Amino acid sequence: MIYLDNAATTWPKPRDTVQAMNDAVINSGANPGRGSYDMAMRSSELVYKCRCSAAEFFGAKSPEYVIFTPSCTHSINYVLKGVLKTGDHVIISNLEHNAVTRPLMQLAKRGIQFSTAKVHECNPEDTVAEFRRQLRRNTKMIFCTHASNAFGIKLPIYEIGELAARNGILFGVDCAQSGGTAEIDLKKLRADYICLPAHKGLYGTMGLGLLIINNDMQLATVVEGGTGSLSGLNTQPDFLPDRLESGTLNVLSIAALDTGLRFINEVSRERIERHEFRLINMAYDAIAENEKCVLYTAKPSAETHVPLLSFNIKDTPSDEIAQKLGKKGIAVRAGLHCAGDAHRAMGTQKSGTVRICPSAFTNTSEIKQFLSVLEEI
Amino acid sequence: MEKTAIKIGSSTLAMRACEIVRNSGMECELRKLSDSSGKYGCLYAIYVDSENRWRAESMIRSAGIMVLP
Repeated sequence: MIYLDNAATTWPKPRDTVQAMNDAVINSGANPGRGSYDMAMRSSELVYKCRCSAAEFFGAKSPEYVIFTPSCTHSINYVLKGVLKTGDHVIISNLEHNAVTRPLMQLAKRGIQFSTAKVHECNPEDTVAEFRRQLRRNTKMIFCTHASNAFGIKLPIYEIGELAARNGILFGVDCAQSGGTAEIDLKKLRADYICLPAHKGLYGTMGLGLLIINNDMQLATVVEGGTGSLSGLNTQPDFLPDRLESGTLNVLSIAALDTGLRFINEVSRERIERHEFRLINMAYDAIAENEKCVLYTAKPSAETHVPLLSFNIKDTPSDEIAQKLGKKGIAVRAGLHCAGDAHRAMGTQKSGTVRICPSAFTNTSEIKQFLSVLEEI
Repeated sequence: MEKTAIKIGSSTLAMRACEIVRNSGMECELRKLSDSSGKYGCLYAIYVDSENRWRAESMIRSAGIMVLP
């Protein structure tokens, strides 16, 4: 199989990941932060070590500002529902994933308003101007994706962060598609919250997300419960990370994430990014030359895109293309990619698109084979 | 050398406190224990030499970590 669905989840994972998870099950299988015996302390140390790794990787203030959640979607929900109150207004982009739009549709029933800023591909100034145009007196936050999961278009989040800071409003970013590939440094990025999945560009496993907080405002909690701390109190602790981490943590996935972060550091994020862009641009050039194919974006570059691509074959439904590719051993995703708004913005809501995305483990010959199969189709 | 316990509410904050103390050259040991007052349930305690208590606690508080009574 040639796996090009790394935008959904990266596969394969680094070689050490299985060993790390195996070790965790055998040697650190206790519930962290609960018991006081050796294995429980080892489990707590494993979690803390990963927190430290993630804090360093993203430039977080300190490890307790790294919150482990069940998924990036959960992280986004914690931010939106933790910050916004009735009467607040939030600005999003027109390329958001349903993880952003669906919670906001629900919050709209409680009197929270949102408006949408148009993203101009390869034009950060106009994009920022669109966000500025949406500001209102009651705007509490800007929340947007760093990069479209369907089209790879990057938003100028550093500039948007400056806009938010100048206007005294909060800024949250969905970094699902960019974490581990694009530079995300909270020492330079004026974001209050970044949300990430462990299992895409961070080469961890499914069932874990990150919420990294970059301010000292207390988020209202969405989930309360046991935290392993101050158990005598029947109110949620008010300190991080415990306040936002109720229930048992996914220790095995945390072990895998730590391995993933180490892998990226060893190979270097920049080298992975260059590798993936080389591959996606090889695909872009070949698809662009094929008269039967349709592309929807400019040629990807690191300043304005993440390395993923949507395309179609003229007069062919996208799911049919994906099926034919699948039968030839090429794994891709077709359809709307949980991002109906993005497809509406690009005019592909009826057809959907076929999406390809390489990882650090994809090689040149796999892209060539994919292109050869595409040519046959 | 006599040891004294600096009490902290969560494992994450206790581990960070331990790191801070160790990085400044003081020895410390981290243990989980029950809160004898019954108010908090269970806590983490960082054990340091009694003569280092004031310095360790001061460094921990400066890092924004709450020390429990």
